[in-house]
Amino acid sequence: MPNLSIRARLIFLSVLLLAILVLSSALLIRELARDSRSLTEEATFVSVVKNANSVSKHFGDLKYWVIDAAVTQLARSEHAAEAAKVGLDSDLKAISAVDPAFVAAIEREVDAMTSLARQAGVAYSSDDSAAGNALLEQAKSHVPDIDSEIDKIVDRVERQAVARRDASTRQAELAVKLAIVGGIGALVLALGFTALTVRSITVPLKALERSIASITQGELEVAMPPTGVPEIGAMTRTLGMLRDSLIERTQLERKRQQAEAEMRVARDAAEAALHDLKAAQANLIQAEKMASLGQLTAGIAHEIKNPLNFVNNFASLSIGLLDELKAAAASAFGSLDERKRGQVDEVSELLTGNLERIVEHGKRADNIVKSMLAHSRAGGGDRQIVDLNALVEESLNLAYHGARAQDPNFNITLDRQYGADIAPVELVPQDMTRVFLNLFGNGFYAANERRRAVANGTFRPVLSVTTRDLGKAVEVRVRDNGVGIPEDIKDKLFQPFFTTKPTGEGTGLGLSISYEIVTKQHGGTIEVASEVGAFTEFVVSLPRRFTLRESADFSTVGTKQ
Amino acid sequence: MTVSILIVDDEPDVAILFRQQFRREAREGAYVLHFALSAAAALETLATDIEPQLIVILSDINMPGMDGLALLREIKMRRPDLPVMMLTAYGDEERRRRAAEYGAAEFLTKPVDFDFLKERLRRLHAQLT
Repeated sequence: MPNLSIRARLIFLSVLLLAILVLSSALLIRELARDSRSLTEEATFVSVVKNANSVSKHFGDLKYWVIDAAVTQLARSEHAAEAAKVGLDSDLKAISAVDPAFVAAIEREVDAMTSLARQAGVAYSSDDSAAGNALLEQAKSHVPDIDSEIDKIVDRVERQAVARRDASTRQAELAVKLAIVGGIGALVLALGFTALTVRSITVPLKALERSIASITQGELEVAMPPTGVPEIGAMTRTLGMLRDSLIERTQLERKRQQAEAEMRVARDAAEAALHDLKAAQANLIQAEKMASLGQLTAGIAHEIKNPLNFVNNFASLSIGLLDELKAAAASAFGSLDERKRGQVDEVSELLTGNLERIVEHGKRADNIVKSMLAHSRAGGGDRQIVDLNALVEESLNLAYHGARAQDPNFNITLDRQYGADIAPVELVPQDMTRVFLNLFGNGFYAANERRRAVANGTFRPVLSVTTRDLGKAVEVRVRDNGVGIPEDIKDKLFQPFFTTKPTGEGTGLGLSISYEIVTKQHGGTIEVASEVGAFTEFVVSLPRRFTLRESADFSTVGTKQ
Repeated sequence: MTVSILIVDDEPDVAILFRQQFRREAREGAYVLHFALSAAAALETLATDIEPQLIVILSDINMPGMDGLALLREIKMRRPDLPVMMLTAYGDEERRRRAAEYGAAEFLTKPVDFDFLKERLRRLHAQLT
């Protein structure tokens, strides 16, 4: 019974149960009615049997009194015969329903016998004994027939009564059985229909309940139960709408989260870009500053170089001239007195010393000027395709032996971490060697400074050099475990003439030239990381750029150029 | 045998410096020093007969007008056998390379190492005599 409402189902069930009740009741009533009818019939029959039994008694009385009356002619007998006849007639009438023809035959026989007996009585009264006797005999001759017929009919009535009783008993038993079966059947039917109806309601309810439980637990993909029962169908549709709205809300929430995540990513990217931009701007400003400082430095060097050359040349020339003067004037000096000659000797010694000092400091100035000129030279050298590790190793050896030559006590552990299979790089070997010499020299110096600062001599200076292939670029890391660089001077490191070394030990141009060479000439970067009292690390990264300039001119250089 | 040396430099003090440096050699009659303050003046001097025999030209590179390298090429076209030594304050690779390419006999950086220069001149002089 699909698509029926619960109310309709319940009404249907009630009607059905009522029908079953009515039908079973009707059945029982019918059976009871039938029973009562047969009981009535039986009761009737009992009286019939009684009548039948009294038929033979009345007939006995009748035949006696009729004959007696005929013989005695007594009125009493006549009355008794009349009474017996009335009783017999009434009995026969009572049982005539059993077999009317038969009863009529008996009546006729009885009437014939009675009539003959009366005629005999008439004959006797007229004292015709013979006729009376004959008539009486005739009347008596009817008696056995009537007796046997009465017996027959009584017997039949009795048999009929037994049969009726048996039938009635069977009928009653059948009715009881029928009532039991009908009752059980009705009960089963009623229970069955009730169960079916209840089930037709509870099954979709259970399915709905399961769906609700699933949705409550967040399983939104659950299928909706079929909508058979209208009320449950309505609930299912409502649940479906709830589920759909939940799904929609979940999707919206997901979209919102996604949008937020995207926004975050975009914001992070924007922040990163801003950060990069700021860093690039800072680099640009630094590069600009460096470039103008470099140009200024080179320009100053250019202007100073020539006059300085004259100073140096004339100073050294003057030493020779002074010697010449002393040689030429030796005899003249010899004629001077002791005191004056001493004076002349002293002055000439002082002059020679001064000139030597001019030459010495002039050479120092010349070295500085040469370094300064390196700024203007950056970018002018020949690019070559070289093996980076070989170049680094060569520079490291040069720096190490140079340091050993300057200070025989100098020592440091060199930790080489050269990357394997670094593809050749295009660079200006002389200038990059200069950069590496600078970085190694600085590292040696810083590590040695720390060794000097640590009193007990347990400190072990280490300089590690790492090379790496980054694909489009190569990287060289120079790390020392020296004194480190204080934060406040980090941004001055690459400025020309900035130095932490004592006067005369450093020009303050090494890193500024290195910066120029790496950034301007090679388009690379040079960065520094440091912790005071722990380490300093310079990271030089150079783009590989084979494509620039006419590559046909480049000669491949191995370990030695 | 006395020979001539031509020195080309736009700085007049160079003449004074060289005269002082080569005072003894000049006195001994080894060299006669000639000076030109520009490349053009040098080429003019070269066009005249220099007495005694000119054995070498020493030239600066950075000069107003024609520079030392251009002068070198000019001289090499006119007098391919005449040695030319370049003297410069800026001994960078590019100039060194070009000087060698144009046939310079020597490339010396300023301040001039006169002992070295005198040795080179002495050898050149010895080759000729």
